[in-house]
Amino acid sequence: MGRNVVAMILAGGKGTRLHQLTKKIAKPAVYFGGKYRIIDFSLSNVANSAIDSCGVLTQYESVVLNNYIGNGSKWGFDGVDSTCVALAPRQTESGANWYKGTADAIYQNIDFLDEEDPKYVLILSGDHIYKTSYDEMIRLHTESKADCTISVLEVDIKEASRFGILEVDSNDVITKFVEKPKEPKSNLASMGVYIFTYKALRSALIEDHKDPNSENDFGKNIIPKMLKENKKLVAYRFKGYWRDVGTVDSLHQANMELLPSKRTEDTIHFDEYPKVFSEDTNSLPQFIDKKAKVKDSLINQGARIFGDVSESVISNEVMIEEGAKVVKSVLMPGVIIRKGAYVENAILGPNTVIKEKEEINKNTGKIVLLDYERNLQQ
Amino acid sequence: MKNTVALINLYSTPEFGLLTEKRPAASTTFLGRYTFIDFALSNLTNSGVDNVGIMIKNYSRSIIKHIRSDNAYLKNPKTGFFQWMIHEEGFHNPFLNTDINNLRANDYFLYDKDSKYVLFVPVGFVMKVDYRKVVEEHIKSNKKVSVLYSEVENAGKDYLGLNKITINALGNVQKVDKVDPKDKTVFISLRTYIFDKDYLKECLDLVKNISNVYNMADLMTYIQRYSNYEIHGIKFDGALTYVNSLEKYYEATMKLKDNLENLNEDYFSEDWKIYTRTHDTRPVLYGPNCDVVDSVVANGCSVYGKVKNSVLARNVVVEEGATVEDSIIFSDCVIKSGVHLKKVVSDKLCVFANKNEVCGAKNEIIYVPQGEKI
Repeated sequence: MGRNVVAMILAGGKGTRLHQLTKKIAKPAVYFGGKYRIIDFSLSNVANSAIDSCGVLTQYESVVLNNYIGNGSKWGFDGVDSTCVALAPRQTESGANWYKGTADAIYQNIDFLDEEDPKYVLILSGDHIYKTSYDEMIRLHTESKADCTISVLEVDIKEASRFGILEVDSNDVITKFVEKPKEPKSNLASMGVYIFTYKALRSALIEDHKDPNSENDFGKNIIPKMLKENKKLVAYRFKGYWRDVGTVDSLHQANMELLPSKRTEDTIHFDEYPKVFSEDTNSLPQFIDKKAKVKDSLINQGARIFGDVSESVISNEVMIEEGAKVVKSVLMPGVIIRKGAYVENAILGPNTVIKEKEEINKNTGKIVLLDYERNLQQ
Repeated sequence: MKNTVALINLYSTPEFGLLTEKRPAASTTFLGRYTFIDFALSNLTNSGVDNVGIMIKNYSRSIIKHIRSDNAYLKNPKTGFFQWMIHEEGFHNPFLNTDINNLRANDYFLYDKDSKYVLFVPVGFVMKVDYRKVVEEHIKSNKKVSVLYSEVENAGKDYLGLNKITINALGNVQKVDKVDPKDKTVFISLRTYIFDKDYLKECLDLVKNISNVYNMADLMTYIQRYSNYEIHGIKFDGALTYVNSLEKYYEATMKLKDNLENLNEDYFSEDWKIYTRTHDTRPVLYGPNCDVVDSVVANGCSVYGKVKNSVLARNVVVEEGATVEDSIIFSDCVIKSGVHLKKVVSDKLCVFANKNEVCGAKNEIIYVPQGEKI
């Protein structure tokens, strides 16, 4: 007997706008919120939706990500009849191929889907920050007997030209899809989260694969073609906090929104349902020294604070030495801030070391990104 | 170390007064994110011992809930495993609930084909022990049984309830006695024993004919005094913290907290991790007006008030306007605004709301039982 829903998470992107942070790891593996990685949100959302089969499509710098996904036990996918598998491009009888586009990534794993034999396939991106259970969206998809349901966000119309925009009728049945329109006629932006009835998806992918002019992309090819063929596509209106952390500024901003002074009812609250699962490191307990000052911050186990920290997100195994000051910054695991150093409005990649009395980004008002490679250059 | 089966003996664990009224010391919170059995299990994991029996004396729910399964501790739960050793007859008749009767009821380890040695591991000592070296020394000694011991000062004050031993020139145990309140510097037994498995089997058969309520300490005394075999002594020179009362629990927590400041390698080091069951709790939230110094804070906490010289376990909430000083707060407690705690050990799920000052006197610690509303 097949499964009801299988989730496929697209996690192969490079995330070029995150610069050095994604030089050696894929964007979904980038650290977030002191103890999480970006992909924890998608995987936790799938787990919280009682979906017990999940494929994660990895490609760019996939070693760290594949290793992190493991057997899915961090999100509970190691239970009875559950599965979570990293699906990297592979050599087949017809040769070795990279994933050419989002649709091609799913097409190349049709054998995985056939084996799982689902009624529905949930396709989502592994690089967005939001908490949800997909139950309601799945219910809408099944009850409306749609071929495809697309999760949409209502965005400011001025911002709409940055997104794939959907036009709908009075029943939220999609009538048109335009990728980044110059003059948007709707403010419904696609979140890149789709539920397909597998039969419809399967034939659409096979046809798309045969088309030499296709870019093999859901937004550019699959969705417009299904609309042209009068398939039923429905919009699901997502309500809640959602962030694309594709740039240094947006990653910094989303981290800052976790702080006590910035938290609202709408922002991410990790400990409330649906919970965000992640890796719990075997770190020592967090230690705050006699001379330390900590204000308005989020600090993970394993951190050792001897200096001043304010409005910052501090990961495990971070060391902030006496007299050092960290303001409005995001420190990823293993960062060391030596005595008397000053860091402001910065994202420091894993294992970055700031030297004694060094000043980073003081009073510039801009966000700066540094990573461990600067240690090697010094 | 496939040649060794380890048995964690929760029968030889000390009591911590009111703290262990409803749970064993083994599953009592320590240093915010650990329990005492974590130290014993981590020593075994770090030593490569992965065939581990846990001899449960009582309060099995608490200990099983903490450990749940072996995958938080074992490197490979397929090649290694944990075995719960429960002596059900002992639950019904506490008089017969001894470690030796538990061994008889759960003698699976005697039939383990790979192992030749049985290592008894206590809980209640915080120390880094490499059992590879201990077993190696036992094998070299050519004795049937060995005991791990340590030289301690102030034995009468800090190690009451344990046995002191005398070692002869050949490194074997000459005498075993109870620690006396007047004792100063002595060798104490660390309740860690290594037996040749065949000899342990012999001993278990032998004890049956002596007394049905003998325990391991009695057996060791019997072997030393009446058997034809000598007990080899293996000296442990590392740092040691022993907890056997609520007061000692408080002292040990504060001592280990201070050791975290400079990461004293005697207790904490990169190559000797402390493993524990984790709970997917978020990092700690520190409010804009909080004031936290000299403290250990576990994930899940929300600190908006003042915390000084204290240890907070998981999910503790300290509201703005509340003060926690010189205290140990177990998981899921809430300290409401306006409350001042000093020298308090609060068990889990307590709410401090309606009494402004809960402060122990100079040499007094206030213990607040689980779930109390103050």
